[in-house]
Amino acid sequence: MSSRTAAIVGSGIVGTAIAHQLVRHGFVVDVFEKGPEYPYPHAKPFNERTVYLHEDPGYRLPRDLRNLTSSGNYPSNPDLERFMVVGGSATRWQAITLRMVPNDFKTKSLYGYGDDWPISYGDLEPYYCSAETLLGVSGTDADNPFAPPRSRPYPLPHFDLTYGERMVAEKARDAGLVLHSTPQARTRHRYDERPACQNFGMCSVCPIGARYSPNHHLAAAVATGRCRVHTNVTVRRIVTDATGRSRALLCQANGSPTPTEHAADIVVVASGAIESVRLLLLSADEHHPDGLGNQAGHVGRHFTFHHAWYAQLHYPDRLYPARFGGATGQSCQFLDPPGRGKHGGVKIEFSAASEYHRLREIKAWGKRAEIVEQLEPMLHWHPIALHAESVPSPRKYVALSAQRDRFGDPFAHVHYQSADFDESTRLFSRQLFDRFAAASGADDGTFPDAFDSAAHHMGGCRMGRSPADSVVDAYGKVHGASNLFVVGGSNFVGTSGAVNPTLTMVALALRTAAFIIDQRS
Amino acid sequence: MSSRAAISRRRFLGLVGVVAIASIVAAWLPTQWARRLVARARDWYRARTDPELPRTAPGPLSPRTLEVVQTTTARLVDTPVELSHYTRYFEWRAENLPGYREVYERFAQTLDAAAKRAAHVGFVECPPAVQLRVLENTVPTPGPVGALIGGMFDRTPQLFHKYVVREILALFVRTDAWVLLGYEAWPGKPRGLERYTRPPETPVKAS
Repeated sequence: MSSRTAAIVGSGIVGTAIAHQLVRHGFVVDVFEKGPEYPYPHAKPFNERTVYLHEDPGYRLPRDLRNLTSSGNYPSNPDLERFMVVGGSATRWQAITLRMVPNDFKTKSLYGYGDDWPISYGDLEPYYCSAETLLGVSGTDADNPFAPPRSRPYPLPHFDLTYGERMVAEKARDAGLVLHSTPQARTRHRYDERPACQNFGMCSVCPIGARYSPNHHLAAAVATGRCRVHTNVTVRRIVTDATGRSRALLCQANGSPTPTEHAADIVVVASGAIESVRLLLLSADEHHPDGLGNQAGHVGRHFTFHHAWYAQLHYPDRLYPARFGGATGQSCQFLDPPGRGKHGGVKIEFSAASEYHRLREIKAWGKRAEIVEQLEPMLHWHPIALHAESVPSPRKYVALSAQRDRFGDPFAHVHYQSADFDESTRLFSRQLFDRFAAASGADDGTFPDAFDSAAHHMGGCRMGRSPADSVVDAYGKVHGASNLFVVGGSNFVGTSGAVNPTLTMVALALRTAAFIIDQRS
Repeated sequence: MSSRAAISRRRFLGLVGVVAIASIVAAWLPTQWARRLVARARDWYRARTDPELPRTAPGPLSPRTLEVVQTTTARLVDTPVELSHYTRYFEWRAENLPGYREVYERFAQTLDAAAKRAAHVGFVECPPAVQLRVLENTVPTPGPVGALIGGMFDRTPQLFHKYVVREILALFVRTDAWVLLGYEAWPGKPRGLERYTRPPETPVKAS
């Protein structure tokens, strides 16, 4: 076996970013994906969703392979927030690529909650630039006075606000609220063999690859001949030797009766916060009776969601929402607000990527006017999301479930109970909603009681300075294991900031890849 | 006296306990029964009013069937629309999803037969007013009671309503209705990166 082989668990945006980097530097990489192939560019699934109004069940793993159990007060099923296919959940995302702000990395010392990261914004900043280059981010900070400092410009120019957002932004500005454009991994111009965005709409699945999908770089990695993607294969264990070094992956094709071992010199776990925890716990052996990296019991802890409230505002004027499929108008004004510490930071999303309104039953034939009349209010209603950070607590964790998958391995169990801090953040979000409504001229609105995770699962294998306080070090290397890395959203330390996590996940992945390449070269 | 009082208190407490347990059981059982009854009634109602697609093989549609479902679309949305995406929809569903081909073919045969009874020509060849009347008679929009009564005797109209009529409407709401509302195109069509920053050029007339 060459000393430059790597096995990566998970083909999502993090696993792909690492595979792509390692292959470029001569590594031979095997990527293991539990889910099926997902055609790229995603024209087929796009047409199925948009033209044929059909979701192909073939893209969805059966429940005996992908389930989890949950408890607590989170009202949704976290399992349904994961898309287990080649490319992972970033085959279906809005592609919002904001950076965390510097203070997000030190909330404990500045505000007294969460924990400080072992790295600073400055440490990660060059990798933020690299991540933006890799993903092809279109953006500007010219209209966003709250953007963190940057050493390189965005690779692509920004997308303008929509007509409706601009109308609202002008009114809000007079009341001291800033609505600005949003950086996003969507090509304003042709970029890196990807075509320019044509604004198809329904952009969580992009038919042409203008919206970044990991499949783009996975295909590039495979084309080198040094990367293989193993689809429909479940990684059941990480096998370690007597020294604690990871020796191989215990894999099993989803339809096979027997597992096989896949030897590798470097193992990278990049299978999302929940499944990464699960794999470390499942890999318990005589040397690691509580699971890998779990010397101090941190695996599965410090787990958080974002808390998002998907609200609506009604305006007397017709705003014509959803004319642009990406995400444009947002506000980073309250990511690091005065009063932070009593509550968390909040991002305001005033973008209407795609809005379908449910139609009441038509009472008789040939009533086209009735249909249009029923739909007309949608021109006045505009979605607004309050997207907030949350804090870890002993009542938020991932563990192993009593239920088992088809191989007999326990599923993950997610327990998530909001903390008092989260309630304070909800109240702050509600105040922002009311303030924004008044400032922007809304005459009606709805604000939900229930929060949503925004499919942002973070923590569980947090990074830190020592095994006493964390699972991995600042490069994602599992404490006590020289060749085992866990990377991605699972590394988030204690708070996540209020921005979407994906760009930070990719920046962390590129930092880990650079570390591995540096170590082995 | 005191002994009798003590026994009586014990008996009294025992009785209270028995009554309390009986009350809880008496309150709980009907609730459980009622819940089960409601659930069963709901399942029974759904089974009779929510027909499932037949499990027949997908396949291409005959030209006549396609003509009939296209004409149905035109009558249903009652406004000049580009029919190509509806056609793609019908063809794709028939060729990829079990049951749709059979439903479309039966739908077309039923409408043609009804049109011949009413006007001695096929459905497509009828004047629009007759087409509408045939549709209203063949696939009436069911209310909750009508659906139940219909479901006990012949569920074919419900099958047509669910898998033809409602799906055409769903597609219309996601496509052409947007244009009627003043949008330059519906989500799913490339719309470019300039026009969305300006007000729509043909704003909606309805209010």
